[in-house]
Amino acid sequence: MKNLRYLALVLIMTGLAFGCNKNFLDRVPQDQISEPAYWKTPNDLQLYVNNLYGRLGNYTYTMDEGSDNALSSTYRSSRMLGQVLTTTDAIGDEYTYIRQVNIMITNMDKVTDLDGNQYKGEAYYFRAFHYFNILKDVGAAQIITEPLNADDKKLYSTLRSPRDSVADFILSDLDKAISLLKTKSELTKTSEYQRISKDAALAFKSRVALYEGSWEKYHNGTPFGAANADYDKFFTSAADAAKNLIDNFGYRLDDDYGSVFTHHELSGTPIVSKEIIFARQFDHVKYNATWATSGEQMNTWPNGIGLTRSAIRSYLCTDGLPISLSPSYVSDTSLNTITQNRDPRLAMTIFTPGELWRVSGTGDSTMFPDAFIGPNGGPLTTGYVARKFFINDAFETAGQNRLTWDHITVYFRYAEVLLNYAEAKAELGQFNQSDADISINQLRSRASVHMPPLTVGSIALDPDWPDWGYSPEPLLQEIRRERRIELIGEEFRFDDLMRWAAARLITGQNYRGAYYGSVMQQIHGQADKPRDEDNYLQPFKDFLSDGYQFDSTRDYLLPFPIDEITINPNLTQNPGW
Amino acid sequence: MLLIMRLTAIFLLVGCMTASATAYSQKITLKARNISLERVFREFKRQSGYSFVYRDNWIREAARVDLNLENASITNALDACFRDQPLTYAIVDKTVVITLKQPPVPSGKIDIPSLPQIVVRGTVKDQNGHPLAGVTISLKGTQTATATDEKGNYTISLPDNRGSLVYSYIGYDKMEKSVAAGSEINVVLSSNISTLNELVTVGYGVQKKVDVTGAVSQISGEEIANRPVSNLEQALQGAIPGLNFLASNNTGEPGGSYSVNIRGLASLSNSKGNASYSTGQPYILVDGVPMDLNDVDPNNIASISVLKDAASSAIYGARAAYGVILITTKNGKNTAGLKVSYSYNYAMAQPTKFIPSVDALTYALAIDSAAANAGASTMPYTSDVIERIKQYMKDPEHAPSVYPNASGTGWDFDAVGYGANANTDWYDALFRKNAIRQTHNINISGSDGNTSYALSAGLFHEDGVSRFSNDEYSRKTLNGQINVHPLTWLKAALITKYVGTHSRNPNVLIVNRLAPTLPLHNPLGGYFLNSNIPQTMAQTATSDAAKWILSPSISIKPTRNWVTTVQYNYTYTNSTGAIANGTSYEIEPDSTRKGTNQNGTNYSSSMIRTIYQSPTLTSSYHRQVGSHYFGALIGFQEELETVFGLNGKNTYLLTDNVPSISTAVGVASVDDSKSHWATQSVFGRLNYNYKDKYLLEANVRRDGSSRFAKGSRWGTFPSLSLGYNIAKEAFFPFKDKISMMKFRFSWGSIGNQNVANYLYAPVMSTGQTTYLLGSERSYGVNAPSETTIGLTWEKVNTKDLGLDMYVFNNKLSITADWYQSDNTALIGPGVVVPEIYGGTVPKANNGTLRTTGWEVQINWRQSPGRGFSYFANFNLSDYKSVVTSYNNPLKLLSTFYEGETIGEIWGYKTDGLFQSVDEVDKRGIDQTLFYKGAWAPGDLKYRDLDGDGVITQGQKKADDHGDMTVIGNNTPRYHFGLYAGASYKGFDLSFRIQGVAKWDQWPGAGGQSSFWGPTAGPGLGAVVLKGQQDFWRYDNKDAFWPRPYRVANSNPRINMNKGTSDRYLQNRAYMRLKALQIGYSLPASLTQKIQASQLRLYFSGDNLITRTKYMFFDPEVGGYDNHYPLQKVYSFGLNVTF
Repeated sequence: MKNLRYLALVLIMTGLAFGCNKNFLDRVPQDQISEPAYWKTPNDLQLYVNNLYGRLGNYTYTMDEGSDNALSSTYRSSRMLGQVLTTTDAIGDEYTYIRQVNIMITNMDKVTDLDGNQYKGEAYYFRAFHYFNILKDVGAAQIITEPLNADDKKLYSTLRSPRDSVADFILSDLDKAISLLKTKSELTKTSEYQRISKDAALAFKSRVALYEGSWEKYHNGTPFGAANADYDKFFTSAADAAKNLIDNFGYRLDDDYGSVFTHHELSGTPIVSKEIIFARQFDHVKYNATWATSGEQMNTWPNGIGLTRSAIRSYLCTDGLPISLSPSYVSDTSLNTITQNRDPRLAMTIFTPGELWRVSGTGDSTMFPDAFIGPNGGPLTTGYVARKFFINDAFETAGQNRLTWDHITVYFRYAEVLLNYAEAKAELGQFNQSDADISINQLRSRASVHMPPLTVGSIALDPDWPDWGYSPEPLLQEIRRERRIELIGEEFRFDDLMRWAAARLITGQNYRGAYYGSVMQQIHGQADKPRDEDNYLQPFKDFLSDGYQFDSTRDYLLPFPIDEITINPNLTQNPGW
Repeated sequence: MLLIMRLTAIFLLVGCMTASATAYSQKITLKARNISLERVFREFKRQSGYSFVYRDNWIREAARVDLNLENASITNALDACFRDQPLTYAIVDKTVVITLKQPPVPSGKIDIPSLPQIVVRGTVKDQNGHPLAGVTISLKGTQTATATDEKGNYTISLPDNRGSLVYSYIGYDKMEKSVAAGSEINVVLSSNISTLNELVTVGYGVQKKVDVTGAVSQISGEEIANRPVSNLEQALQGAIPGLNFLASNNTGEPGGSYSVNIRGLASLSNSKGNASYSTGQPYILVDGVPMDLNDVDPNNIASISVLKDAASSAIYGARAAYGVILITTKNGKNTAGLKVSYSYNYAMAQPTKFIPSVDALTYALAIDSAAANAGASTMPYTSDVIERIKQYMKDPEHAPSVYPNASGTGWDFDAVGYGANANTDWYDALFRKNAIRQTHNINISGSDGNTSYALSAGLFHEDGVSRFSNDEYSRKTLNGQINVHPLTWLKAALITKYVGTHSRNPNVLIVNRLAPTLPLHNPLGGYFLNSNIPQTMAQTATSDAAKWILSPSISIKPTRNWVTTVQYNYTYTNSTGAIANGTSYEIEPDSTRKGTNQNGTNYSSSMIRTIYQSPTLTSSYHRQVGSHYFGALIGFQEELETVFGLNGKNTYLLTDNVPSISTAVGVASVDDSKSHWATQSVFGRLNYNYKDKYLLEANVRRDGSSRFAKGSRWGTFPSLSLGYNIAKEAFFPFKDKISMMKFRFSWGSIGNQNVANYLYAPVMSTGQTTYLLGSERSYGVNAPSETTIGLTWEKVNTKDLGLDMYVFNNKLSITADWYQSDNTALIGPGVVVPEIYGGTVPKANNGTLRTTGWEVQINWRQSPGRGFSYFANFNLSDYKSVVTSYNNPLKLLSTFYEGETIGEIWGYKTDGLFQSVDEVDKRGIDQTLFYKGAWAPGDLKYRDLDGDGVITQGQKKADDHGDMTVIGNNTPRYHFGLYAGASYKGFDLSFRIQGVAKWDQWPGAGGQSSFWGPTAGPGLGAVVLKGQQDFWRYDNKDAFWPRPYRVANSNPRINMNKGTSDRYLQNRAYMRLKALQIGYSLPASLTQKIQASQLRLYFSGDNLITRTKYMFFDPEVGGYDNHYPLQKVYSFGLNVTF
């Protein structure tokens, strides 16, 4: 029986080893939150909605590349080329984000604390933001307002709503956002002033409504238009939202046009501007090395993108007349004189020789070297080098290729609101001098601009007004000019061309750049740059012998994803595809 | 579960009470009736300590005996046993050797006993020169016999010098020698591994090969030892049919690993579109402990057994769905006394293949013509630079390789090296030909009375072949095993293992994507940033892992038929990693430094601790009743793994020399990760056989996994296998030639829980966003994951038909298997739903995959005598997987569809290249799917299969695919291996050839792919390898490559000629001399001087010769992108045993 002790040993070992636990197989996550425990407090809402901010857009300005304002060194815009492939997925990830927002909107009313309203408003704002992206690309869209399960029949029964309903839906989300969000002046905490405000939602509303109104007006009667279009409804909505901002929110234009985009206040410090409604800050320290791309982008600025001659020519002369009429216009055959007697915004938008180009950390200044050589020796396409957005004093040490400054991306500024207001009022036929004075003339009287005011009723007829394919009244022509100049490079131009049905400005065009005279040829020793018969650079002369092949019966919208139509044959394709 | 515990306890108790402890004695007491000899011998052994050597079939066929022994001597006892048997015995030391009695001398003669006339002496050794003890030596046709002693020596007295001596020993071929040969006859017996008594390691035990009914392959450690390889995977490649190893881009790195699968058994996991196919990882047990193949020292292995079909692996359940690999390390159980062996290997490695690049001038001209084709107005290489290139190539000593740019602040070349004018062969510059590897292994084992032990230590160190990344890998292993047998009914064992690995990983070098015009060296010192060399040198990425394993076990054996074992496995793994990115720069012509300053430096560190605990209780019983053998096993197992990780990072290192989080002063961040999973299982097995002729085995296992929600957590998985050894039948006509001919059939089902933890819980991950709120990047909570609903065990049902044969006195053995595995209830991505769903469709049990395959293994082994012996083992295997059902009613090609052969490549047939503008104009087939602009001579003609005049993809469905068709398959088919060798006197030679006979690859259209040469577009993709200058030009119209266009990646032209096409499909089939070994064992007369029993010197090489049609790169890696090359290795080594 002495063996019993060995047996006992084995039994004890067995018992220790197995430690019979009834819930042995119940293993729940330990480093992640489970949803059933969520949606209790305003803080839950805040943390959730914080994650949606990342979608807003990043640090890269593409300077209107892919429109008639600017060209990159490659002729990238397959849409302008008419070469979008039918297999393109135009909607991309938008519904992924919409699902995320819908999860919040479906659950957020479980939180009744009024402190949650700000975040609820942000959720509506983000849903509007993503649907607006879809609207711009494919027009009519499927509206989903709740997170569906993968086996939900609604995934197949939800068809494309007409574009005006989509716009209505976006505007109604924005109205909800406006009613819930705090104003910018109420977002006083350090952690709050980069949050979306009621102000931003109003500005967004004016942008969306103007977009849809003008789209429906200029595409009316075509396959791209809306049935029974009621565009004045949208123009009114755009004008009202803008007017509300103008009257009630205390925005003013900053004195210096050039510095609106080059703020680099440290994070934690509010951006000192009366003009910026909503902007995102980047901070090289907080983003540490992996997020330093903003600096790298600035180092290679402007990344091979140059402005077009057509954009440069649209700037008025200081006498308020277009260059075709003004006696003070100096020809554009020299970069040295191109900004003479011109709207000062031009000089704040492109570099001219001899200007400060960059300052190193050791204080050494470099002057703008050369119209045709970029900072890394690369070509600059058109010869007109963008200066807008460029921060030239931020190199940390000489020779470094990683820059370490902070900068901002402006999403909404007061200038756009003024332009939205002016255009909507003009489209409604209600634009009078007092409207001009609170909008366009504010822009012209900015301290650093000082251009003569626009006088309604005495607008000089410019023979160079763009050929839109139709003839807007002179007032609207000038409002569109003002918009092009003021907002150049801020990625409005292509959208504007689309809503204005301005295919004529693209199809068959082959844009030009700066004058490439014999003096320049000597300086650069490069005689082989492609140029037109008048010696203006024409970068794509050889590639695009017939110009851009934008197809006005098709390319105003991207193809609706064909994979979606395969899965659900009840979905319709866009015109021409 | 509680119930089982109680039952176990009860029969443990019962078992113990019937046992009794007895110490050894020289006297034997045994009273029994009708007892089998086998039992008798075991009892004798238990009482006396004598060992018995015999052939199983003799003993099994022998008559049962009645014994009445009381304190009998061993000889008396044995005499009593053998009285009426056709057997006799000899005693050598404490070993009893049993042999057949010879037929009595015919009665007509008068047998006059005569005095011995002559005495013959000699030594018997094995092929390796080890003396063999206990070899029976008999005079043919007489009862005169003796046996060798411990040193292999024998002496036999014979009546005269007529007749011949027969040398026989279990496990070795019999040998005959004429007595006339002399008074000293030394004999070398060659072992016959494939004898009938060969033991095979199977789940929770060992089985005789004749009794195995599942598909099991086993090889011995010898077959893979002494290879200059960094891990076991490399050594096993090609050794076992159905055990497949596939290389990846990182396999060539120091310590790099292969992906392993058994029979291609697969699961559908992540993504084809949003779904993908991945072969499953087999379950690997080393001495019963789950480990990685890479953690095992290849030189410390006794045997490796691969359980391939469900029936043989089913006993391991939950984690064995993709097969099981059982590894037994060397232990001291079969070593008498002390044995010490040491082996050493010194190796030099170089890339298997040096990728040939064209010279700088050819390169520049090719790039320029690609630019011209794209309509570029300025050439990447201006005539000036081309002139400089010519100068440099003519006189590299004196011509500058690079010039400063106009402003003098930088060098005159772009990101890839355009503009510079050197002539650099980058592959040659970045890789070296003499990376050193060293292997040491020492093994001490032995047994002494009731204890056996083994201690081994291994050390492996490998330098990488990358010249600049200073990469290395080392592994230290320590193994200790001690088995004690203090009482006849009690055994205890402790296995301890330590594996420590250290690696310094290479940065990703831009291999082969740099222009040859970029100089290697900066004329002002150092290297250029473009080459990535400074960044590589500035980075230190190390990872260290230490694994400690403790595995104690206790067995009690109350009767000789019943064993109960409790084993507890505890594995503690601690892995740490650190990456330091220091400053890196190049010197500009104005002597400034460009690059990363301190601000760009950073350091990150991570720690992961994994604890795995698993107790296993098994109890087995077996009994032979007459000709019926019964065996039963029941067991219970639990597993729990907990993982805890901690990661930290900081930026701005104060100094590169001491990188750490503490010496950095930027923004620090830290996060952790925790997870755990558990399983619980009960299992049982029944074995039955009748005279080793009819065999049956049945298993059942019930598994629960924490990875599934309550309610779908448990699964039951049965299996059954049958065997029939027809050679045992009386009517079998070829008994003299075929000693075994066994048909096997098995069917089994296993569960697979190989999914992520917590899929059923809607978790919301947290993290820092990229958006600043206030002064900090804000924190955010992600949307809850889409949860699985009712996700449960994936089932693998496998049928296997097999045949095992031993022919020609076991010289030839053949094993063949055919199998079919159905993975049902596959865990895969959910059905494709409209984009408006917006989420990741949760995983679901969604479809069935059928894998059908076969494998053949043929082994030949012979020792014709005169010290010569040779062997050849050939294996061939193949499989193919077809999706038999999948939730994809539209049969979209974007995910799996019913009828799809896994690995199929959809693409276009082609009709060559356009040869003239006229042909482009007249062909009349719309190719705008690829490019909407004008096509030109030299562009690819896609074939209009459906004849509608337009190249389309249809609706991208299996039954509406336009002009797409299946042009190939990327599953490797027909894996083969040949392992052969010979030995003569002290010399031995062996080699292994391994390959794949059919394998397609689409190189991809990516602009970064080196495959396309100048066609790849600008930037890093633009390389020109030898052969790639054969692109279409008016003066080279029958070119292989299309007209190259140097355009940006987003340019619509970039992929116009790169649509997936049969023209550029690659053939990855290859045959490779994987290993070659030539050795020489010093004669005993020399080795004895250093008191060694054996000393062998050898040369061993790896990957020496390769035959393939694969273009440019190594077919095994198959990379046209950044990859680390596999290596060709030459090595020398020695093995010494004391």
